[in-house]
Formats: sequence, C-alpha cells, structure tokens
Amino acid sequence: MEENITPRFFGRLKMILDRYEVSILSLVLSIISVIAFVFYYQNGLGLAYNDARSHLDIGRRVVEGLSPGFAQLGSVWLPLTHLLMTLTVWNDFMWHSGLAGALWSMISFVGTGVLIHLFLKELGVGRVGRLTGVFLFAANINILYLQSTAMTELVLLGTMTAAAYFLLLFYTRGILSFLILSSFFVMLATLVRYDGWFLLFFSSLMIFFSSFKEGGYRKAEGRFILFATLGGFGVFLWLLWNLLIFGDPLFFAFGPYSAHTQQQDLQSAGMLPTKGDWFLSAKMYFYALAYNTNAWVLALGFVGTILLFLDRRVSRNARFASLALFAPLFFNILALYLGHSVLFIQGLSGDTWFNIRYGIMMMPSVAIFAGFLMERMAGIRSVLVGTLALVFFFQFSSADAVTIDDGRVGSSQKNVTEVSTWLREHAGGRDGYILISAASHDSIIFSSGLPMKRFIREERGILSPRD
Amino acid sequence: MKYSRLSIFLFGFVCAIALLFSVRGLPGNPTAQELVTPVWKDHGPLELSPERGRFALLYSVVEDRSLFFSLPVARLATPDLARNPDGKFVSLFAPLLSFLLIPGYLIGKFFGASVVGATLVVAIAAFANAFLIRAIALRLGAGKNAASLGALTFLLATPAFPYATTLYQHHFSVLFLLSAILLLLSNRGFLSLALVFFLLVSGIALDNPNAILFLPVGLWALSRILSFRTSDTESVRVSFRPLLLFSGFFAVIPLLFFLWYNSLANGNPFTLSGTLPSVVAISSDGSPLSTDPNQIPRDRLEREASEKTAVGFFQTRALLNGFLIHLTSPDRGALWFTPVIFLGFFGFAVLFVRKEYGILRVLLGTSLLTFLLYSLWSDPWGGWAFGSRYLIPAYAMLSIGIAIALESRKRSFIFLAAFFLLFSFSLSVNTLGAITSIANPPKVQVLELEALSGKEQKYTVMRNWQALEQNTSTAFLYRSVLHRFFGAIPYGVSLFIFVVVSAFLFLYALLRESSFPSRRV
Repeated sequence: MEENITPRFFGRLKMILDRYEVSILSLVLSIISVIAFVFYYQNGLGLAYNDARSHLDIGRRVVEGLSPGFAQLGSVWLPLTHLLMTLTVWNDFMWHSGLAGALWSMISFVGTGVLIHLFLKELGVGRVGRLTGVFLFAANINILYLQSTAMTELVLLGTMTAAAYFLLLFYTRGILSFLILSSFFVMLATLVRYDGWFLLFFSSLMIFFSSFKEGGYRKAEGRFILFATLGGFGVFLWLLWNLLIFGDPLFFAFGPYSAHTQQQDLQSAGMLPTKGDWFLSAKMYFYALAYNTNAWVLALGFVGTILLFLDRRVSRNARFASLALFAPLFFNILALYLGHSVLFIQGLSGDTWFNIRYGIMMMPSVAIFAGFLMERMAGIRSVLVGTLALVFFFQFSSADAVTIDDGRVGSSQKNVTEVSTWLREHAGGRDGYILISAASHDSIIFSSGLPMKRFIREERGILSPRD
Repeated sequence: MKYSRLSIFLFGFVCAIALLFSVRGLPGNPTAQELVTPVWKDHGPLELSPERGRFALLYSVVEDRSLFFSLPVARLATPDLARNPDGKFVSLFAPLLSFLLIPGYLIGKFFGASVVGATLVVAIAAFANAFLIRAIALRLGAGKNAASLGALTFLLATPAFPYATTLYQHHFSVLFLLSAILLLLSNRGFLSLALVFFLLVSGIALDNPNAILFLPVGLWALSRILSFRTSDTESVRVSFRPLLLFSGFFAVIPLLFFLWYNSLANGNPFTLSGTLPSVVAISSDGSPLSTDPNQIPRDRLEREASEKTAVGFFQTRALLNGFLIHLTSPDRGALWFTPVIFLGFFGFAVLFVRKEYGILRVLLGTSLLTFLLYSLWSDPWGGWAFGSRYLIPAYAMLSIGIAIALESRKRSFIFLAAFFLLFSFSLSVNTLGAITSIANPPKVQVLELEALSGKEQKYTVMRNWQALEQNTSTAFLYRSVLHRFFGAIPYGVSLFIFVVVSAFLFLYALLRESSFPSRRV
C-alpha cells in the first residue's frame, strides 16, 4: 500500500519555515532559555559560582553602596557585563536571583544559537545541518547552565560568534560594512573577557594577510586600520580607565588583584604545571573541551572541520573566514602555556575542578563544524542523528555537566552559608557598618542578603563613609 | 575440485582448525564444589567471573533444575552474583546464553568433558559468524577471496578470537546480528522478516545492551513494513505493508521467555538481572557480602550494591576515557590489539561513494553505537579482559568493510601489503590471547595489584607472552594431549604460521584476480 502525501502540504510547511525560520528558532531558544533559568534558579545552582556572586555585586555597587558610581566597576574584570547589569541590578530580586546578570547570558544564548544557524546558512548548509548545529549548542547542559547564571561566558560567546559571523559575511560578500560590524562585535568581546583581546589580534592578522594577498600593502593597511580602530577601541578605553582610576594603564594586568598575581601565587605553590609546557597546556585544554562540548560532539566537529577545509564547494574566502572560529582554542592553550590562565581537571591535575568552563569557549565553533558534517554526510545522516540521540539521552539522564560540578564541589565554588547567615543574624537588625575585604569575600556580601551600603570595602579603607 | 569449492573448504578448514586448537577446557564433568578450585577457576577454563556466572546458571538449570543458585553454585558465580528481592542467589547476567549452551554441556558431559562441550557451542557460533561475514561480503560485491579474508580477520585477527574459545555472550550477539543482516539482504518475504524480529529480540535476552546495538538492523527491518521516501516534487511517498506487520509477532516468543525468566528469577518481569543488588562474596556461613576483603579487586571495577538502574551504568562523562581505552590504550586499545580492523573504514567509504546507504547505515550505525555505548559504560575495560571485548560486534561490521575494501583496492599492492602486515600483527596478538588467557588487568588496577602480589604485573599482551614463556596454555587440546609433544611457544607459533600462510594464499589469489581479471580464480 503506497500513499503520496500532497506536495501542497510540504510546500506550505517549507514556505513557513523559509519565512519564519529565524523567528521560530529564536522563540524556541527563548523558551528553552527561560525554562533552564527557572530550573537552576529553583535548585539554587544558578548562584553556585563564587564569581557569579561577585559579578552581581560589582554591578550592584555601581548603583547602590556607600559610594555608588562607575568607579566601582573595578580594574580586573572587564566592564561590559557589569555595565549591562546596572540596568536591572538595582532591583533586589534581580540582584539576589542572579537574573540581572543571567538576563544577558540568556539573551546571548538565544543570539548565539541564531548566529550558529546563520553562519551555517552562509556556508551553504541546509536546514537539517543548520538545526543540528543549533541543537548541539542549545542542548548542551553546560551551555544551559552557564546561560542561567550571571557569569560572562555566554555574553563572550555571543559577541565572539557575532564577530566571526560578520567576518564571514565580509569575506563571502565583500561588503565593507560587514567588516565594521565584525569589528564592533570584536570591540564588545574585548570588553567582556580577555579572550576577546586575542580575537582582536587574531582577526586583525587575518584581515591584514588576506588583504595583503588581495591588493598589496596599501589595501592591507587600510583594512587593518579600519578593523583595528573600532575593534581596539574597547581595549583603548580599558587602558585609559585603568590609567585614570588606578594610575596605571596596566593595573588590570599586574595589580594586586590581577590574574597574573593570583597565578604567581599558584606557581609558587607548584599548582601551575601548564606554564612553559605546550603539550600539557594542549592536553589540559583538550580535556576541558571534550568535557564541556561532549566528546562525541567534539569528534563529529573535528571530522566536520576537516570536511569544511577540504570542501571546494565552499569558497576559499568562506573557509578562510572560518579560521576565526579557532581563536578561542589558540587563546586558551596559549594562556595556559604562558601561565596567565589556570585550569584544574579532576583526574588529570589533582582531584578537583577549576575553571573547567573555559572549555565551553569552542562550543559554537564545534556546533558549526558538526552541523557542516551533517550537511555533507547526508547519506548517513540518520546514523549521526542516532548516535547523537544516544549520547544526549545519557547526558540528560546522568545530568552530566562539568561546569556544575566545578560550581558545586570544585574550586570555583565557595560555600559561605555559615558565615553569611551569622552575619545576617547578628548584623541584619542593627545599625552600623561591616568592614570586609570584598576582593575575596564578595560572596559573603551577596549571600548575607544585606544592603551593599552596609559594607565598607577596600577602596574606602578606614575612611569614614560620607553618609 | 572447482576453485569456489576449494576456497570455501580451505576457509572452513582454517577457521575450524584455529578454533579447535584454541578452545578452552579440561577433561571431566566437575561438580559445583570442584569448579571453585583453582584448577577450574584461576588457572582453568573459567578464569573470569563472567564465564563462571553464565556457567553457574547453566549448571544450576541442568544439575539442580533451578534458576536459584545453591550455595556452592553461588560461590562459583561470585563476584558476578545477584540477590533477588526474596534474598535468593541468582545470575547477574541476562539468561539466554546459559540456556543456549545446554546442548553442548549435555553432549560434553556424555563424553566426559562438560565444560569443553559448553565452550564448543560458543566456538560453533564463532565459526558460523565467519561464514556469515563471508556471505554478507559476497552479497555486497566482494569476491570470494576478499570475503574470506574479511571473515578471517574478524574471527582470528581481532579479540573475537580469544572470545570464541570461552563462555562469553559476544559471539552469539554477533551471530544474531549477522543472521538478521543476511536475511534482510537476501530475502524480502514474511518469514525472513519474522525470523529477523525473533533474532533481534532474542538478542536482548542474551545481553541487554543489544537492545541498543541492534537498533540499526531493527529499523532497517521495520522499513520493510513502513517506509517514507521523498521525491523531487517534494512529496513524500509512504509505503505500508500491513501483512508484514504480523511478522512482529515472532518477536513475542523470545520476549515471553525473557519476561518469564525475569519474573521467576528476579521477582518482576521487568527487572533486569544487572539491576539487582550484587553479591561480591559469600562468607563462610553463607551470608552475602557486598565487598570482598580477601580478594584482589579483579572482576569488579564497578559494583554498587544498591540503587542500580539500567540507565545509570552509562555516563557521558566517561566518553573521553572510553574512547581512549577502546582505541589507543595499551591495555585494551584496538590500535594495539587489532590495528587491521581500522581498514574496515575504507570499505565503509567505498559503500558511501557507491551510495549504498542502506547497508552502510546498518554497518556504520552498529559500529558506532557499539563504540559509543561501551564508551559511555563506566567500565570500558570490561573488567579483566583481552582487548576491547565489548567492540566485538563492531569488529564484525568492520570486517565486512575490510572485505569490501580489499575487493575495491585489490590492484593496490601497497594496500594489500599493508593489510597483510596489519593482519599478521593482529593475528599474532589475538592468537596469544586465544591460547593463553583473557584475564589481563586494566592498567588502572596494576599498581594496586602489584602491591598485593608483590611482583611486577603486566597489563598488555606481554602478559600473555609471559604466560606462553612459562609454558602455560588454556587450550583444551594442548592441555589434554599435545603438551606431551610441544612446548606452548611452538604450539602457538605453529597455529600462527598455519593461519598466516592460509591468509597469504587467499591474498595471493586476490592479487592474481587483479592481475588477470579475465581469469578470475
């Protein structure tokens, strides 16, 4: 018995999908995002990271405290996410639920999902490949968790993926405005995390070399200046900020609270084994990558990468532009090698996790490459879908997410329940101030639930508060 | 004699000799009390607990007429022993293999070698698998020589060889799988489809993870009943053959058996044996223990006595480690135990280029599902084992790929030479496993083991070579008769040379085919 399902039905379905695909995708991603946030809010994991609470406090100090103002943005962490938080963090619920920060992660989650879709479309990938790419990104529990927190990862992923996407558009369509858009998102990325600075360097090099090959030095110089001026504006502003507020443009890099200083402490304690060791740096990051992105998805992404760069059906320019997707990989290995970054992987470097979330930085790239593989392996697509279904089934049934473990039991967590409860019970109903070193105890301030203006921190020292 | 007959005779002869000369066992019809002695256990044919666990159920059913283990039988099965809700000792494994071995056990018992008889049933299944691979490869366009070489690769140059000589379920899983594939390739009728469903569901009663590993074949079979095809006009053609739907009823027979067993032994038709609380040891007064303080941690890498679920054994966190263990680790990795098998991917590539997607989906899908499932498994080492035993179904699929690759690349001397070198290396490794021991510890246990034993412990195939150097072989024929005439090393080397020369003959014939295509031999 054979039946034909009418072409009309499929024609209409196709028309709807063609017209509203991005809108439908955005809606679905938004729903997923909200559900994930509510889930992690209700089980309390959304604020598990010590850093998440610190980010929220920094944002809050800009609008509330003994001396509110932009100077509270500090010197070490880059300011964009904190600035964005200030729009809502004045509200106690938004502050203490973490939503003030998570909101931007959630928006970035939706945006990155859409960008993966658009990137694949620009590479000539069909609907199944595009949706697979988005699925691999959006169904990753580490991504779902981090987008539910006030951490900076998703905002960085969003801005970096946008930069890479517009760079691809520039290379495939040759329109200069896409280069400007790309540099704008690079600039945003440089104001989120230092990973963005490497992207600025990497993509500027790409622009210079490709333009040099295309039209010689003059063209390369012109495009490089165009790209790097806007792209590097955030870096310039940050150096200026450090100079104006702290008296040293490199205060963020070498100041007492900088990562550099922390890493020096770790090194003297013998806990920075990747420094000066390329192999170990690459191995550590590879493990972080595999644990975050899912080893099977990573394997598919790897095969997809090979196919993409060998595929002559994709223009040489598009393939060249796709190199930007590797910037996080190079950056993280380099940072580990130089000792500017530290990563603990349970079983590989001791018995705990720390900063394992750095491995998530390649997730959009891996999703794009795996989506491309799905397109090119159309004949065995059902096999790939089946294997992914198997792996994702067990990922969800075992609730496997290394980033949650790091925040729950790894070195990225800080359980301050006892001290913050004591503080609330003993200082909550009384007048006066609490002297605290916020640099290492921001989470106590946050968890105590007391107003920010009750705390006297480092920068005011023993000075009497004006108010 | 025509070459085709000579070819198949030579092929069968090589397989049969290799299996006969390596199959394990000792003469005698041991009782449960005798089976727990080191002669049968630690240095004998039942050296590992998965073999003992399955043999225990077989023994209990035949000798005690019961699915519940008596105390001596329970002691034999430890540490792979379970306790049902009524507190009775039962098997921790899916039951079907033990039942399939019963005829061999009885015949062996008649001849005074009950364990050998049971083990020979597995060897016969392995023998059949080699012929099935050959037949499938022939249907996919490989010539007789290429098909024979693919089949020999599976049977003798992968860890399938050592597991063809002992009481494990892997060869029966492969038998069901390959039979189903061959049936689907050869016949589109009702009966063949019914038999396919029968085999696939039987596989679950044989080894529970088969429910996932058999999915590609199952879906292929289902596509005979209901299929969707898109056309250029963007319409979808739905094909439905309702009569074939009734073929599914044949799956009910093994399903009923499985539910019956679960109900009786495990207390609930839907309780799988593996999810029961395990008993690692039994105290002298007969009470169960969940840990064994006197035993080195052999056979138990992952034993939680309670809160076990079927899904809980698999975790994505284990994937990366699983990949490395199965592929590259020196204690289990295919790279060291059967590097020749990777050539199978060339065959898959040939099928892809030929756009033979239907069969490719089954072969590749089964391979990948096997690989992934047992990489997700919290014990990818398979306890104490030889090579990556869990991948045996994948080796079978890839061996078909090897046959196809050999056929398509038969004019490439370099490819054939590479195949022969890799085949010879893989054969030597697996012959060692087949005639010595499959009890190699995982690397992660070696330090603990050395501390307990006070001597260096090897965990690679060098452990098997060490055994051979000590004139130790578990092969029944060697232990019962031939040790009087040979040392273990000449015995192993002779077996290796016999197979490698035979394989070379097939390869030579294949090379001749390509040199003189008109005079295809």
